[in-house]
Amino acid sequence: MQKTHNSNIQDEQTRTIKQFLFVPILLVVLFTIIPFLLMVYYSFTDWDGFSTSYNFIGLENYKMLFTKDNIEPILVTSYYLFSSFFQLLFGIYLAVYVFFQKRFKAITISILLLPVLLNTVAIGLMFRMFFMPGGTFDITLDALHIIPYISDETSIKWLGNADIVNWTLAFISFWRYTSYTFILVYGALLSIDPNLLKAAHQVGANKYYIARYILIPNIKVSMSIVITTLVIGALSTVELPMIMTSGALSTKTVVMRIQEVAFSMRNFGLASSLSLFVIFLIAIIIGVRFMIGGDDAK
Amino acid sequence: MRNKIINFLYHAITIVWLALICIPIVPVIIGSFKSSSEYYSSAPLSLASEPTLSNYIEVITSNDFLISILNTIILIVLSIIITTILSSMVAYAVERFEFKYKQLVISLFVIISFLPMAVMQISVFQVMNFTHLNNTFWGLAILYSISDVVIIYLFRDNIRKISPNIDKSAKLTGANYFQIYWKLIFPNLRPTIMIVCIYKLINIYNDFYLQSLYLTKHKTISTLLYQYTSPYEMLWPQICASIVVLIIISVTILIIVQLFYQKQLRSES
Amino acid sequence: MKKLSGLLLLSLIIFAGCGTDTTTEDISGEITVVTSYTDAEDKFADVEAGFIEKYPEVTDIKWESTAGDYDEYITTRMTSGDYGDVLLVPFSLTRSLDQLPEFMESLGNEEELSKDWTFTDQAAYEGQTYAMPISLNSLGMMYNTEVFENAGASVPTSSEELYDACAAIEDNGQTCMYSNLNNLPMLWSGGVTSYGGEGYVDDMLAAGTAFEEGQPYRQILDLIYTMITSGYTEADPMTGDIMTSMQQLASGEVGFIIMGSQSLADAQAMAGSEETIKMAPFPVSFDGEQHMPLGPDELIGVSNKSDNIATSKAFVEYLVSSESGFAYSNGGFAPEVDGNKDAPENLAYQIEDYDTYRTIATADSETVAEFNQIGNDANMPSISTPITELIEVATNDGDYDQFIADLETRWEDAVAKNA
Repeated sequence: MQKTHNSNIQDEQTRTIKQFLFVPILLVVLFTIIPFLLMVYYSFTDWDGFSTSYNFIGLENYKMLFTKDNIEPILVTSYYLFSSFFQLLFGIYLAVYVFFQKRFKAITISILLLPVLLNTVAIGLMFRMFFMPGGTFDITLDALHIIPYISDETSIKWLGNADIVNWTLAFISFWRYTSYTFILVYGALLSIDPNLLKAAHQVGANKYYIARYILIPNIKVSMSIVITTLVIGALSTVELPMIMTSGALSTKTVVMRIQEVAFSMRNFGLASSLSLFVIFLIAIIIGVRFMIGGDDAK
Repeated sequence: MRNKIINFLYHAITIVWLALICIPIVPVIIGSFKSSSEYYSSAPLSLASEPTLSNYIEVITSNDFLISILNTIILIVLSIIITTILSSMVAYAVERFEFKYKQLVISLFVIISFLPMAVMQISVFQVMNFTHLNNTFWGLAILYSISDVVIIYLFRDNIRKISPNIDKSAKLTGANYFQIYWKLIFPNLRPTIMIVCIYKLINIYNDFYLQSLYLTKHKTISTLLYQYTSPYEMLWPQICASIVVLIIISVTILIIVQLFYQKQLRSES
Repeated sequence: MKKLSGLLLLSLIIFAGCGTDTTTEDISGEITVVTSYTDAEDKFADVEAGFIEKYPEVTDIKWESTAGDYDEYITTRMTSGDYGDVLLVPFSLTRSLDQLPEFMESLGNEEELSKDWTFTDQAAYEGQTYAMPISLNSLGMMYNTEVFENAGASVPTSSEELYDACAAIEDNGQTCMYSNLNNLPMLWSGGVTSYGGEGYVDDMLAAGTAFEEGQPYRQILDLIYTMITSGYTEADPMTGDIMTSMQQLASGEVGFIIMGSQSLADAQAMAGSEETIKMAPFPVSFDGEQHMPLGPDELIGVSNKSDNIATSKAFVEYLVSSESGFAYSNGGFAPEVDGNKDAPENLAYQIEDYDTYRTIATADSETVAEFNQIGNDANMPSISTPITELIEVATNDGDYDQFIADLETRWEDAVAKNA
């Protein structure tokens, strides 16, 4: 009797799992796995992106991958990786701050979300005004007596100087996307069992203690996926350099390069193999991180 | 003393950051009150000499303004529903049960998160066409939903905090797993659902590429803004005004959502 | 009355010219037009009203566009077969003409069409024309006459004259050229024919080089490099804004910009006078003469997957003819052989003062394909790529000779690869 009951439960579990996972997996297969496999397939062809005929050219596309034009844009993304690191730290700080905040919480969150509520066109407009010679940034620095503003010609060209422009873009990226990290970390914090916090308050633990020993350890899994998202986001940066510099002054990122190869040079095969290479890189970075950080996905 | 300094810094950093967020937006607000000719001939930070509301009037009275807001709301609501149900179901199954291909399923959801959508669009478009989901709100909402794997993890974290004993005792009273999920787990996911709402709101609000590709027959807020831009012409004063209007709308929604949520929390405790 | 009969005559020509056997009864229902204009509904409002008035059976015209990159958007849609009834032909398709029949409906025999229409060969393959220019626009220096007069400079006809004029303008405390290089480097690709003539593609292929002294690409790069390094451009070519450039041109803070005639009316309106803002060819002569480059703004055609081809064709014919008035409102001419007599006065300079010159090389499609392939392999699909790369060299004290040598190596390697 006991046995049949157990196997009944077993059956019901299996059925439930199937029911719960069927639709999500079907959608994932349809909209990401199939397109992904199509891309693998195209990477062995010389398809131009729209014609109905193309040839198989074996590994030709992969042989053409490692040129300066393809590798440099990958290296450019390291600026954004650097920026992501600070987005993570600062995002956690902001989330903890808001978590403890008692007054003005709704207002603070709303302001913090402003950068991500602004459309790309707006970002392009705002930061061109902000960083142009004699723009808001130059005037602010002048007012604070950090760098005097004399004339447009002599001012530092934040978006026009090849040594600086990638840092400027990394800063804009920080300005804009820290809010994403914030909202995700804050979301994870909200799901922490309130009883844990009550207990900590009762023993008189301070904010630092609570953050360090209760908040952070409790959101580890979410954090690992946030980091993954940040790495992917950094490597596939495209919008920001596109609207700010159109890729001039060595600011072209790898996804911009992929789009250029696919849509202006009409070499969809090469573009596909380049994307696969980027996916491969992401897999390595994340794989290494999982190995170091233990199996978070468990 | 040292504590005081740390405490001061703790608040100061946030306040400085909030200010830094607002500074670049100031010229946009100033610009929205300028006439077209003044806009291009004056410095971004100088106030309008003859403030005008004409930009706002033009934006608000444009044909598609209300319908765009409506379309965007439909899209966001659909996407929130789909994301919440699908992600929490996956999270529940993965978190509470052991099964044969569990690791494979988890890896699948991790892997898809790092496929760059930007480059796969040609093949995704073919699938959308094949499934006749092109130009439907459902189709686009589904696309938005499956691209956010991170939400599954937020739900997993949340479900982990709910004691498994609840499941067990419910099971003993004869409830089936779906009832447990729907009656016991789901109501406890409220904190995460609120984050999903905000996250989806900002994502969909921001994206224009997918919307212009898969909703060609419907205008949305983010495609609306582009009616003032073309390769050779940017109507910046109108753009400034629409940015300000959209900020006001979204911040209002955000504040309402949060106040509502806090009120609920209070009434529970 | 005279005007009316002119219109009547013109529409007869259109029908005869395009050789369609459709009658007005077939032209009905609804069509979708896909363009790169996000403001299409307003921009084409008159065209839509005029078309529906002419063909009352037509119920509606739907406009679709993207906020993103049009080429990327439309080619993605083209792979699926759903790309509207009428569409602007993507740049990439005009670079591979042999693909036209796969996607586009023929508008007629090219030879026939060319009796009444110009630029019928822009999107033609095997004797059939697949798309027509929505308007023909000139391209060149849009300049402020007062700024040049005040500096005592005449409109330059060579690079040297340009540098002299710029020095004088800068002495007056104005900016000579607002380069707009961050937004519009592609405008210079329309200027290549001014520097190298209509046969530049053949010439470059014959030479096997692209950046030797005197070749069109090199002349353009030399000009931009000298302008930037001499301080004749805006302070930071990376933070330029098109509308600001036009406003500063109109108000006399800037001497000239490189721009198409699409924007002429706007700039004149900003300046408040048609006399202040004028257009001139690029500052260069080819074969001893200056020409005003003229070419298609965009090409428009009919999808062969459309289920309302008759109406779509009629719409294209109506749009591109001077009858619709679109070309004029777009600052250009309709592609008609004998049309444009009624062109607005501020545009007439294009045919009165200069020989017009085509902005696109006249080479056969195979040669163009070879040229494009070399460009792709050299990683410069058009001259905008080297110009974008040049900004870094010119604004950051780079080694210009080395830069040119590298470009030449890239080009020659690609030539060798395609030999």
